[in-house]
Amino acid sequence: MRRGVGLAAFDRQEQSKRSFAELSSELSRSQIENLHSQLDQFRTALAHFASTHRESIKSDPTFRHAFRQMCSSIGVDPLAGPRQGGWWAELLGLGDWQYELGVQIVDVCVSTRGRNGGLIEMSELVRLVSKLRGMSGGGITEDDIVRSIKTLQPLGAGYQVVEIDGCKMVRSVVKALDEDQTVILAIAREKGGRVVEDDFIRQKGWTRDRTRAALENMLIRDGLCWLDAQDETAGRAYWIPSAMQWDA
Amino acid sequence: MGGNQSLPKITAQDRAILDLKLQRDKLRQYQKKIQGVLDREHAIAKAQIASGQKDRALIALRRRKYQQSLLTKTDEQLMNLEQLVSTIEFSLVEVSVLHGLKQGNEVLKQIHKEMNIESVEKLLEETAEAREYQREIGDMLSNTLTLDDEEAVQRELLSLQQDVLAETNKDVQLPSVPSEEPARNEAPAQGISEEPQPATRNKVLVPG
Amino acid sequence: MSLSTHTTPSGFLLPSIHSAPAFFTEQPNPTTQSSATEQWTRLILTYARHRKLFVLRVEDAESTDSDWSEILRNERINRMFRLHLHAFQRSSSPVGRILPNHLSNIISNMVSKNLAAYEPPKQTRSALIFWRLPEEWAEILYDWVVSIGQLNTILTFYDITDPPVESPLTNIPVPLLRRAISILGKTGRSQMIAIADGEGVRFLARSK
Repeated sequence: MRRGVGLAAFDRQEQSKRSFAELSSELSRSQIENLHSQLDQFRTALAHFASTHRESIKSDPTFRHAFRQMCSSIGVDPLAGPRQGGWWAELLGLGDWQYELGVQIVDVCVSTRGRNGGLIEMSELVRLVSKLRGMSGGGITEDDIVRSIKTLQPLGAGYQVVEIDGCKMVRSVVKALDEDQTVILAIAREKGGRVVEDDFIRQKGWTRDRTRAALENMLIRDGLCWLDAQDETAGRAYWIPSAMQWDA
Repeated sequence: MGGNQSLPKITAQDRAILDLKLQRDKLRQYQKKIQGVLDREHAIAKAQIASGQKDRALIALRRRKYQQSLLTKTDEQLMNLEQLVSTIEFSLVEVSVLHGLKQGNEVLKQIHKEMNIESVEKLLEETAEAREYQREIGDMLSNTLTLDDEEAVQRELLSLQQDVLAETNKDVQLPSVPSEEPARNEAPAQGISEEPQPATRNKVLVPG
Repeated sequence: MSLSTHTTPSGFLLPSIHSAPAFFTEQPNPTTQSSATEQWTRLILTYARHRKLFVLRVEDAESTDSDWSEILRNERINRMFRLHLHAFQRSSSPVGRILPNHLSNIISNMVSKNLAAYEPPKQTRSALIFWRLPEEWAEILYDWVVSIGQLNTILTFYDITDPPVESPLTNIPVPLLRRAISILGKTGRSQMIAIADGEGVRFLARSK
């Protein structure tokens, strides 16, 4: 300690500090270099992988699933679109895939909104999107749709996957489904789309007023169902398009 | 509605043609009606035979026959009418052809009026005269010159030559007088440079 | 409930929505209703084009054998069937059909979009359906007249609506024909001629 008090000691200390700093920066530089080369290697490997298998990734759902799992284990998602996927998406040329699918989902949702009020069953959506993509587009799965809808979230269009009685539906309008409407949708699915007031009074024990209010709300306020005023049994039958099967 | 001015006038003929065509349409419609009646009577007769009412069927067929004769008659009338319409329309075409011919004739006449024999002869005469005149001028210009003229020309040539000579002399750079005593070997060099000058002068003079 | 397309006896392909019972009821939700009206409009126009139908009347909704029955009714929506099941009478109509009031609203919507026009005017029970716009009819009319070489001749309406050889304009309603002629008149391509007995028209070469 005493020796360290002198001016020379001060110099010496400075000196050793400097050489330590040099050493450390030397070390970290080599580490960074090492890391860079590793990263480069990985990048080329992944890019190579993606470029050789790009077509399979785009068209084969099972392959895409496996690829996605592999990527998520290392914390990247190249399919998530240019924003989330970052340079991965750009590098692998897969960013557009998810957006393209997103646009197709919006297309189907908007074009069927007139008849179903903005609520479409997942399997129906998969079917219509597949039809839109045609043969060359390759198959898509529910999983793809769910992910695509997540990428649509920043748009604030209110696209959302809701589950009603074990059945996934995609909602394309910002509207909260209340509990009664969820029940109505479930019953409508059972009955192939057509429901009348008596269905709920009998099956669910609702009062007529509650049933009527719920149905009329869906009809007039939300436009989620169509009215058949010529129905011979009940006079008024409600048709829920999202629970019906459409051929075209 | 500025386009209206360019529309052709509706003439009495136009109206007459329209009238005829409307009559023809009425006949056609009448025929259509009779055809309908014919078909109906036929169906009635058939039904009545099927139900065993032979007499009634006969009546229906008689009515049908009568209607048929009407149809033939209207056919003739229709043909007459259509012939008339066609004739009129064709006559109109003829009229317009005639009109065209007439106009062409007029134009031809006008042209001929401006092209009578006298004026053509006169024109030809004048042309010949003009040509003669032209030839004379040419001859005159190419004729030999008089003595005076020749002398003047020669004089002009001489003066020109002198001018040229003066011009050439002015351009020649004569060496300046040496300021020192010339060296021995320089003397022939000066002689050489002196000599080409008369030679140049001679050359100039030769073409004269 | 599966909704599918269906081909009618006249060879028209009905869209799948036509088999939805609710399609035949006026919808209380305005968005849903405007979507339904749009579908109905498209259906009416394509069917009119398919069958060459020109006039739609509100009363067509009430008749079982009008030209429009194939689209205004859907026999496959058999309400009798369910009526039988439930064994009590309530329905006024055993098949799916559009109600007159609903049809009247659709027609009025079409008139507001210039896809139809009330004919005669000043009533709302029947309308001309413009599966071709009057402007398009005008061009078709003019092309047809040129193709049969009838420029500058006087034609009656009957000549156009009932030509000996069927044309695209065969059976065109006179009010629609008038519209087409007056559109051509604006560019000096047609001229109306009226006499006591009726009307005619003359088509003229396109003036520069």
